[in-house]
Amino acid sequence: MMSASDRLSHVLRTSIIAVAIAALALVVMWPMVGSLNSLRYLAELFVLIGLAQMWNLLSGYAGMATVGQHLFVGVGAYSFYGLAVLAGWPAPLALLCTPVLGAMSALPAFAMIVRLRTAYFAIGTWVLAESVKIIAAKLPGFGHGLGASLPVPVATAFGSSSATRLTAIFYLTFITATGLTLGMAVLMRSRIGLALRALRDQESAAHVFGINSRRLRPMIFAGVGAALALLGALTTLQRLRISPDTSFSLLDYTVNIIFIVIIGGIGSTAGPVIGAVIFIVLRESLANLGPIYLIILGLVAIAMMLFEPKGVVGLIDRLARLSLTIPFRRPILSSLSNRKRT
Amino acid sequence: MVTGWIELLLQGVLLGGLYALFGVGLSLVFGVMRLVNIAHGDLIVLMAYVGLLLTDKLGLGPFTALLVLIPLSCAFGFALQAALFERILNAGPLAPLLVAFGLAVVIQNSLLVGFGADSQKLTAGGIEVASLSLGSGIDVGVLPLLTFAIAVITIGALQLLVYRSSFGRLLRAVSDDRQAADLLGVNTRTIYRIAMAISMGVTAIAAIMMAMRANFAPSSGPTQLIFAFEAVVIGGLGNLWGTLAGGIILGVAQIAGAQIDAAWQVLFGHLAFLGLLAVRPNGLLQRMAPE
Repeated sequence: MMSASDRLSHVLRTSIIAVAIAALALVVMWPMVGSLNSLRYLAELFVLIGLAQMWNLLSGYAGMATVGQHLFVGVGAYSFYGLAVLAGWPAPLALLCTPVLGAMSALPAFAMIVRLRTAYFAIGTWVLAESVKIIAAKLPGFGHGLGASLPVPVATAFGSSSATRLTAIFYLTFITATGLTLGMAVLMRSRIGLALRALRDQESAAHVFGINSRRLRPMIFAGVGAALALLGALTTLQRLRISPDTSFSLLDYTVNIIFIVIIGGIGSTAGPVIGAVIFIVLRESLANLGPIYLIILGLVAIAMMLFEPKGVVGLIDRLARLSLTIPFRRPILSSLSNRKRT
Repeated sequence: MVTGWIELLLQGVLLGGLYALFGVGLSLVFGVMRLVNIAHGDLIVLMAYVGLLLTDKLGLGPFTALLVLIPLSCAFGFALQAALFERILNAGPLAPLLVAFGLAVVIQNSLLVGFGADSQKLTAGGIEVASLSLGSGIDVGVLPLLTFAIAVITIGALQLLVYRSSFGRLLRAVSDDRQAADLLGVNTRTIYRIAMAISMGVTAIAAIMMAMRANFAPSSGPTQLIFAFEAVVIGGLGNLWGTLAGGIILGVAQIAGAQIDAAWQVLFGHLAFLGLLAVRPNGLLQRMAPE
């Protein structure tokens, strides 16, 4: 027999899933009805979601906070350019190969900074990113400090008119973001997810229970490097050019992403999605404020950490429990992602 | 030729003094409360701008301005700890990092709104270009020499404070085990606030020396943070003289890189840091044992 609260939480959960499916269906149909501009914004949103999921995986679950996420995004952009333009590979093949290069660059990077702990690890990733950015500006063939545009054949490889090109990028980024989000949900329900959370919460106890952090952490780091490189290549397709400053942008791929995850909700799969939507809406409505916009974002992030460390996801859970006055056994949104936790 | 190399080596060593000044503030706060203040670089730049206001608007000389700036900066550090950091220190390792990160972005963009993106420099009435002859054709700049001397004095004073004074004993007790110190009746919250105040006092010194040496802009903070961080890690966490050694290695590596190509200056510093990290993961010098 289900209790009243159980039935209610069941109804809520089902309706949230139904809304999510309806939203997905709408997104899939969108290129047929939406304007080109809306395609552009949504593709940007999908890339942000993917970037935020990966930062959340490292920081929120795996206990490896980084401030150097832009390293792998830039590596992805530059390897796409190298393969598709300099080596002349077909653009789709080059795109598919960028994750391999991302993972291959993540492993030595990890080996270099693995001995640094928590915040020092974070700044270590940053030093690596800045070093690679300086080297990227010196590479022959990549346009040095100014960067280079994608030549027309590569730029039009995914569609010759801007409508078909934007539609293709829309679907590519959509599949990547959904794949990464679902992948996160599945990963966190798996033994690996459990092991990661155990390591994050109490490393020595996790070791006693036989969790091998020496294998797990580099594996996760390489996986994240691969995904970030793919996202970097997709961004290059959107912007049609590479340059050290934009492809390895600390602000775009690390600072903003950290804010997205903090505001949305760190350590939950829904958090990065909610955070990315809030970020885009805020940015478009406050765009004319310039630097004041970033001040607001910074203050909101500080306030979040002080008063609601679980972000908007935590806030929604709290409000839902308040308004229904029926005690829930588990928070709604986090139960969607962590149902097997107990 | 040889004198040229000796001059470069000296330049690098003296530059290391500045980086050590950047580093000790960061190191002190980490040593006492395990907080990696990712806003440290932006706080240096913030204090450089306050120094600029003091010299430009009040017409003070840079060293008089420093005397005003140190207490201001200490008070700011005390308030920052009381209002912000102490609320978050118990929430795990990630939360303080992210709060400091938010603070860094707020400071950077507030400076951008207040002062514009143009780079600034503190004029020091000639000592920034003056040089001293050491004989055999070797010249060193007066300002770098002064910066290095100030760094040595500051680190020596901090060393005495931490390892020889009764307040230092409290600092070390809190650093070793906060709960035990609490139980013994130490007001650890006040100790933390004072530690942050001292760190910001050193930051004020670092800020003025930096502002006289080179151009700075609202966006300069992250670079200064990375240099501070590299000096601290190369030298070994929790070792103040080690930070000076780390700063010197960083400075020499950067000057060596700059000889090849201006853009390599920063890269060589990074490479020296990463290389040393691979060889000596705990830094050059060990954490100093309490005496």
